[in-house]
Amino acid sequence: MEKLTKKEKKELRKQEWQEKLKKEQRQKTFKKIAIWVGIAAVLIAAVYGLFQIANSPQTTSTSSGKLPQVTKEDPVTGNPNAKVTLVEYADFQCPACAAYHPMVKQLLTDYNGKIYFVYRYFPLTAIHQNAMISSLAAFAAGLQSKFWEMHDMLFQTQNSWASSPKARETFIDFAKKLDLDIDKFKTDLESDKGKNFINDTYNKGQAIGVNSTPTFFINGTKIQNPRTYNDFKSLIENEINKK
Amino acid sequence: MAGQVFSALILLLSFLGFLDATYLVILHFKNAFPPCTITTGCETVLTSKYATVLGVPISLAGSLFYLLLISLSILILTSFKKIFANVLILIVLSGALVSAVLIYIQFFILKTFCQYCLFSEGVNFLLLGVALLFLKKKIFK
Repeated sequence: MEKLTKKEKKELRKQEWQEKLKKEQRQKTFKKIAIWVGIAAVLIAAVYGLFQIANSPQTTSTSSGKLPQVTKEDPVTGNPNAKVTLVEYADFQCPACAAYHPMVKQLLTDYNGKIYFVYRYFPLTAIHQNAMISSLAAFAAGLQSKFWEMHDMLFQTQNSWASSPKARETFIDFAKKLDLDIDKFKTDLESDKGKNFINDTYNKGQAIGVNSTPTFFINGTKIQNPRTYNDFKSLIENEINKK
Repeated sequence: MAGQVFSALILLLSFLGFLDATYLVILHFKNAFPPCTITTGCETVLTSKYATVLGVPISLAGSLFYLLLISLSILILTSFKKIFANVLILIVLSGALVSAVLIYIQFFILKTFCQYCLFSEGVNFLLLGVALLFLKKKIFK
């Protein structure tokens, strides 16, 4: 090996040092990119996981008990001999139930004669101050054969009475609009018969695992709440097409 | 070193917030409601008129808010500039203010709560706490 001059040695060292610096710089940039890519991957995986959770059916509770049979006291509409029986556990003050109300109405029109619809009282009295009185109003209207008229009115006007301390008066006004016998309506609002029936329905619902509103059952099987009207429709159609 | 701890804490909290908010965004656009138990009123809160601002769900704003914080904390970790820290502190502060308003709405107007929302608001206050702690220590001076 030939001997290097002092100047050459210096030059070489400088070059080596620069090389090292460049390498470090590259490693640093690489590390930065790796961090960004890593975090992005974690975020994408997380969003994917959340989609899975959101899509997973809520724990079906049909195993914990059978849906109570439809009785003559249950508010029902549609064809009792239809292939599809749709049962809804709902609370008149629950915003989600009001959101589903037009869907259910539409279903009953689109599948006229092919659906038997049962409404089950599930007043969430712990969080909705007018849940019980609104259920009673529907019950009292039902005693004069106008349950469904009151049911529609309650859902359609939910915003106006939901937080009102005078919901009772509002419901009496509704009864007047529906041409009900007001004296009888008022007595029925107070009667224990309504309260007992509503509480009984609620308790039986809770016993089979209903814990939120609305909860729908199609032919006795609890379904995950459909996202859209079309989803709801296809669930009904599947059932109609079953042998 | 303190700066790294700071960024890592912000990163972790923002990630938790991101998970929570994004879950609600997904449910919102699926038109579904999270499992609402009897004792809480999450459906009431999430379907109330306060849940969206001009058609945009608050959860989506929250999700983007956390995404921004995640990006900023990585920037602070990898290529620190004082401006990043300043912007981050400003964003955290505004997040805490919005949370205060949302909590007020749940407590005094709707009078029911949504556990998902409260979690996110809790995260925002923790973020503010972390930011103030480090601001006090003047680690970015």
